[in-house]
Amino acid sequence: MDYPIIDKPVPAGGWNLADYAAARRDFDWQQACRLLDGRPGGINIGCVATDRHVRAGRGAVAALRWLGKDGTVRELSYGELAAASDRFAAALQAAGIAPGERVAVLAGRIPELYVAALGTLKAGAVFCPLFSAFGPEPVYTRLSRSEARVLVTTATLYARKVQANRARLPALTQVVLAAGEAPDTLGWQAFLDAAREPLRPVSTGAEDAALLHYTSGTTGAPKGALHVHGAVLAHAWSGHAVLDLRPGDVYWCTADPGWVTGMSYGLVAPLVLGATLVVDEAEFDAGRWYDILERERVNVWYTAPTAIRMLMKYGAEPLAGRGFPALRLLASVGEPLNPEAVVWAERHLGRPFHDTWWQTETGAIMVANYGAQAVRLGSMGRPLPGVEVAIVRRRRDGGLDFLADGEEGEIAIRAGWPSMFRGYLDEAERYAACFAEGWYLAGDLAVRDADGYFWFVGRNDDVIKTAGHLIGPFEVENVLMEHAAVAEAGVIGKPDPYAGEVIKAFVALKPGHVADDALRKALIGLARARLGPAVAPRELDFLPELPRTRSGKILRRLLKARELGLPEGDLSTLETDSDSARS
Amino acid sequence: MTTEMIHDTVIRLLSEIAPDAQTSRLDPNVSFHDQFEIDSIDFLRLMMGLEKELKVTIFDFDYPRLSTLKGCEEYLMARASAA
Repeated sequence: MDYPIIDKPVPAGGWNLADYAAARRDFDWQQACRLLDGRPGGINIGCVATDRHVRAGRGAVAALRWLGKDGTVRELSYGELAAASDRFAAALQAAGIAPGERVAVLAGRIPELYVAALGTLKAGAVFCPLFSAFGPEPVYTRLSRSEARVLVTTATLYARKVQANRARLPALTQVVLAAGEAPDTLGWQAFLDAAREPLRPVSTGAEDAALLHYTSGTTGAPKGALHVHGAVLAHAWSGHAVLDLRPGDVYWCTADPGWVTGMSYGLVAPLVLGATLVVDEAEFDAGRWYDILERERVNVWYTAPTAIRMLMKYGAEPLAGRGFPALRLLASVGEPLNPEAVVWAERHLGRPFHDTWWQTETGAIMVANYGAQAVRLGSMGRPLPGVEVAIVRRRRDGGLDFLADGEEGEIAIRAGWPSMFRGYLDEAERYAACFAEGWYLAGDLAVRDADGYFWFVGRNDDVIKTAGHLIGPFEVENVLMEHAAVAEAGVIGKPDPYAGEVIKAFVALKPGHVADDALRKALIGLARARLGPAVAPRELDFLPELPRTRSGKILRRLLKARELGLPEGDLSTLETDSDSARS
Repeated sequence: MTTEMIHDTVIRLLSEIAPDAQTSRLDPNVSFHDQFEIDSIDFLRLMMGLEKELKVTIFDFDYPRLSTLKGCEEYLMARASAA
């Protein structure tokens, strides 16, 4: 096969991963532990990311450079971050939070979020980030299911998204406000000051729980994917091999820490590897982003296709007169990166994007394009050395067939890599269903070519990827169904030039209700108020009835095929096949 | 084009894009983002909607200047008189 390939210059000092074939052949995870040298006994992500650097004499190096919306810049050195996270950890101990209990944060990208995350880990508690653009419903579901004991948030977010449900969250004993005041909460400083004693060090092992990330499936409530402290080895190795991170690098990850990328690569990996992490509090703004890349002399940049496509839309004008000589490596994650975006970056930023593939459940990058190799346009790349990836088909008897190059099947990863999720919180059956014959089954479909590059095909279920965020249709349908006029609801991802997919809802009404514009707006408004703009549908159509299987499940793939004008496939399992719905 | 037209179009588009936003309480000097729960995809839809409805070209790199109602009115009036 002939693919367009983009070559690039080798940076001074070469790439961290110079010889991919040799690394694939010789790699072992014990050797990779050298990336974590100098850590004390046991393993704790919070300590590896901060204290280790201080002990090695790098305490004065900038760990976090925070860029406030209003232009404020606040810098925290590794020494300051180590001390601040120790104080937060001590405050958790003073508040009676035991190792293994959950601490959640619902906040924008503010410095307190990073301090709280590291402090929670140091206290041996489990950190659960919540996306600040979630509405009250997803926030409540996650706080309730995780039985979070402490929530760190701001007065504004608390009033909008938590307060009304507080009485229904019996496990939540302490709400700490990083900004503002509200009844039944404690200010950030007051919470820290309540700790009279310094942190009593907590010994955590590689298999102790550290991070809880909620992710969505097609059906049921969101699943809490649990990760352990030992995952830090995969964060460090992938950050080293794929993102080419080295001590002293200026690194910017635009992902929000409310999602797994914003934790694994927006906090853990860069700090463990001694980089300076740029954090921008503001939302997307092309001019501001170029300013940051240029002014902060960003060396390594990790972002997402939606952002890249929006930058492309802005065109070349905001780039005039700018230069990015410091940029060494660009990487992307969230959904497959279109080849035009890679070429555009090469032309306008001087470096191509390197696509990467992984999931909440994998905890770290599993498949990637690497700096030392020419970028194969449109490909996910090749497996991270140390990780075994196959294309499989599930058999009816529960076994797996391993497919040859060129055959389309499901991505499977041999179980046992350090950042593999260790469970869905309180859902052993759902966890077990993700594995067969010692392999994790990703639910993503792909093809492997003869050179070992993987090519993304699609999902084998109905989850939606919008602006890089994974959304389960069930959570959205549930809220629409709460409206008195709605009989049934089905939700799909509709292709969008910027967001990849936007959420579109189809609704059938109960008798006596009129499908008019006012009701359409009322339903979208309800969903936005409850779910937040990232999760709510942006479009909504009425149908007389929704297509279902004989067993009664809504056929979302058929709704999608009709929306896109695609062939509808095998309709033999349909219960209703209303022609009127097809117009 | 008049400021009233711009005002009405912004309010109408916002009520389409974010029906949950209480546009009756819109403060013309505060960014849409700081008053309502809208994200960057919503804002992009607002910009593209204004271009289509008012038949003007908004340069993408000028988007930040249209982050408030007042900013929209000033920018679009200037664009209309320059056309």
